[in-house]
Amino acid sequence: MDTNDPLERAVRPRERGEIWTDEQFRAAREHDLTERTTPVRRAVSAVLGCLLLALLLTSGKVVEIAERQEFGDARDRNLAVAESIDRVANFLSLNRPYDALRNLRDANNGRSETVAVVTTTVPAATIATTTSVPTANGSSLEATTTTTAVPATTTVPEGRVVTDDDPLRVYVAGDSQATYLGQAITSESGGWPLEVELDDRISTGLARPDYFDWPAQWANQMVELDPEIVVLFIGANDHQDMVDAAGQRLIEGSDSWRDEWRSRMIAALDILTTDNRIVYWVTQPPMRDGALDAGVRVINEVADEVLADRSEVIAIDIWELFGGDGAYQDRLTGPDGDTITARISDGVHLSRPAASWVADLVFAELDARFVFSP
Amino acid sequence: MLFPTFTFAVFFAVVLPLSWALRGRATAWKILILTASAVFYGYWDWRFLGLLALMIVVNEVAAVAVHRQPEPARRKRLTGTAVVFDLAVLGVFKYYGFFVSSLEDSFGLEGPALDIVLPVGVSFFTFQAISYVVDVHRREAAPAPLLDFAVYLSFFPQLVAGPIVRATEFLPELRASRTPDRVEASRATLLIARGLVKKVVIADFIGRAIVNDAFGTPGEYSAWDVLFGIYGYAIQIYADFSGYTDMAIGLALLLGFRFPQNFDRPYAAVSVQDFWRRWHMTLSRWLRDYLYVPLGGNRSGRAATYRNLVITMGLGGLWHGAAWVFVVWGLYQGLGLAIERALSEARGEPDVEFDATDVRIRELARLHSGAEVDAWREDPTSPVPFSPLAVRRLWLGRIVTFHFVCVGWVVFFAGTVTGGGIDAAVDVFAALGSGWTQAPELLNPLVAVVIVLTIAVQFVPPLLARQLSAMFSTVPAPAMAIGVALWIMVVVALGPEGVSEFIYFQF
Repeated sequence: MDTNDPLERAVRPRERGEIWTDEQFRAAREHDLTERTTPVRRAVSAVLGCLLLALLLTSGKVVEIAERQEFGDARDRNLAVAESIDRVANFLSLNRPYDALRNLRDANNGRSETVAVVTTTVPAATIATTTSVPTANGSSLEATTTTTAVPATTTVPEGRVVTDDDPLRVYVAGDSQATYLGQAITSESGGWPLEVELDDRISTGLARPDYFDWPAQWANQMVELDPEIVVLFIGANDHQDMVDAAGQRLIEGSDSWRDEWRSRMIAALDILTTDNRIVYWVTQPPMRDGALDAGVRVINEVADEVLADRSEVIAIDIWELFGGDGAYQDRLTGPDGDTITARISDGVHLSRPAASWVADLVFAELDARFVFSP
Repeated sequence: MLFPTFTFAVFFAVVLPLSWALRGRATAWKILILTASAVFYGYWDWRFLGLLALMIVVNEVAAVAVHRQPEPARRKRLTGTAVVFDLAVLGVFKYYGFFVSSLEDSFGLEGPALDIVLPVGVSFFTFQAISYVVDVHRREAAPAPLLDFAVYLSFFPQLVAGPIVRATEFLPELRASRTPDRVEASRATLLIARGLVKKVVIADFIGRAIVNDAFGTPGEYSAWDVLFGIYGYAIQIYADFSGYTDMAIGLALLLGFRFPQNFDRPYAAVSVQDFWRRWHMTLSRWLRDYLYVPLGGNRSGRAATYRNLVITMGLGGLWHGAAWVFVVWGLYQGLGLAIERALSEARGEPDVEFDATDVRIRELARLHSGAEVDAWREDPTSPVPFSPLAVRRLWLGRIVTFHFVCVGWVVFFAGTVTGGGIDAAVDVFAALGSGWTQAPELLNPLVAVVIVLTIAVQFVPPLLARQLSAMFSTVPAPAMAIGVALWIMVVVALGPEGVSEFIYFQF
């Protein structure tokens, strides 16, 4: 040791409230401050052993990750591998601590660990759910239950008078596109007294109820929150294959895929429009990525067909506003004449000021339907 | 490919043993690492690989040409050309849209609209490439063989978000034979475990629990929510970025490479200058060595020094993102540094220039005023001065600096809101103007504890941390492996669904 090591001399005694001799420093440094190195073979074995053990301990999560991948051969392969790992972990009971922690976490979050899978032939406001119940050995049993959403009490008369004491109850829901839109509606409010609930869930849509079950969520939220207005901005993540109730894989964009997505949208709207609730459906804007752009065009086409028969659902059509068939554009001049950067760098999400434009369209619809009495 | 993912774990489980198996065969090892880095980077978008390859070839050719050129003027021109090329790459891929929109907003001039995807980590590897050519120009480094330089620029642990490792640090390690009995496995393990919890648990939790809402619609929440949202963002951005670099440094250690430290308890800083010596340290020294010093540093009088500080930090702000708000943030930091320096000079305090590499002196500088350290340095055997006044100044400095930095983070946040301008920051500050009597909605005991604890950890004495680290290194490898596996399980089980992108990836 360098006996003139200033750090050792200055800091160590002060921290301990002691004055140490150089000999003490030397001993302390040798004993306390020398990190042992590890021979390579042992270090690499330890890292690999650690990863293998971590894999077994978190096998439930590994299966979850595989299940959430887009349907296809790669997912099938990964799922087969993940399930094999899970079987080994289950045999060795190594997945128990993880499951216990997840249960604890979910209980603290006030959430059931059940995963609801919505069938697509749901009658209005009634959803069939498949519930996963963990068994003692860590595997899952599936039970089908039926939940009927209690009809909401809301009746929104045309021209309802909105006051500061009786604000409009607005529920904004959807994928990550809904975040800025919901925030813009909340903070700008268009001069309306609004009570806004934002329910934004990243990477969700109607295509993968196994990942997040929106209809089940909406059935609950309509009962809990009883909103008068629902604003939906959803669909960009549905650019992928789906599996129907019979387990049949539907190729994205095919006729059967369109039929399935249509029926899911109708089922969702049936839940949301209960008792004259008004729903605003925000269409998808053009996307920079060509494949995604083609995907959202299909979503918009199917949504158009559905909305043509649903007078209680109002389309907030933003396709043209964000470039339309003239294709995707980053920079746009809005209705107010201002040019803004309308999309964030991923070429998908609306920027915050662009979300304000969309919020203005929602406010304009409110102006036409409600009366505000300050 | 994000570090804390199953995909990366599989990738690393393959690369690590292969890397050590090829230890004795240098060329094969370099090809392996180059291939692994290409897989790692191409996993985001394989088209980015072309850009990286172009950067490698052009900068290597330039470095060799600079090295061979005996005439200083020509060497300078060659270096300048290489730097301009690197900056042009950065300009096109990162700043094109910014330049076009700025021209449009300011002068009504419309530039051609190009949809350019920002390659991940372009700011980091561009800076490394510039430092390589400039170091060769300064005769501080000799050009490396192409394969070595390619490994340096593309080395996957630091490729996408730093630390910004210099060629003069990396290449000697590359050339040295890695001895198989000197892997700092315990230190690497601690760093990776710490990085995981910082990123996956702390940063994501704080973001979701308070920051997203408090910054998204600040007017809807109490002033307490917004205030702790600001503190929370300071924690989130620190945990997110330092967590990533902890993992990067740990992974590099397992492969046998020592990276420079990138964060050193930044919220314990006693001054703005001290903060920048502790926050993103490898960027700070890059800005100092390749921008501040070439601008003249502090060699041309006070006014020029202040100007150089402001310019350096303004450009450093722009490095963080293609928006004027980042420039404002950088200028704010530069002004902070300049004002601090001016006040220090007005008080007659000596300009204590510490050697950045001398950790011991820096440590003392944090504990005591510059003057005391200066006196002590004259006679290192004398007792170290330590007075209650120094302690009070120390804590006042820490509190003021932390809040100065937090104000800056609000502006910085506005820069991350595309197209939003400074408005997002104004909204947050405005929300602090009222609502102090309103009950907090987002702030709860858990959020407060996480924020306070993360700040408190910054004050753990470095020696204690080193002691703990040394103690951990005595744990047998199998026990360490089991402990870390259990740790990963807890992080995965208690962490949020999915892993957010690292905040700094966009830079």
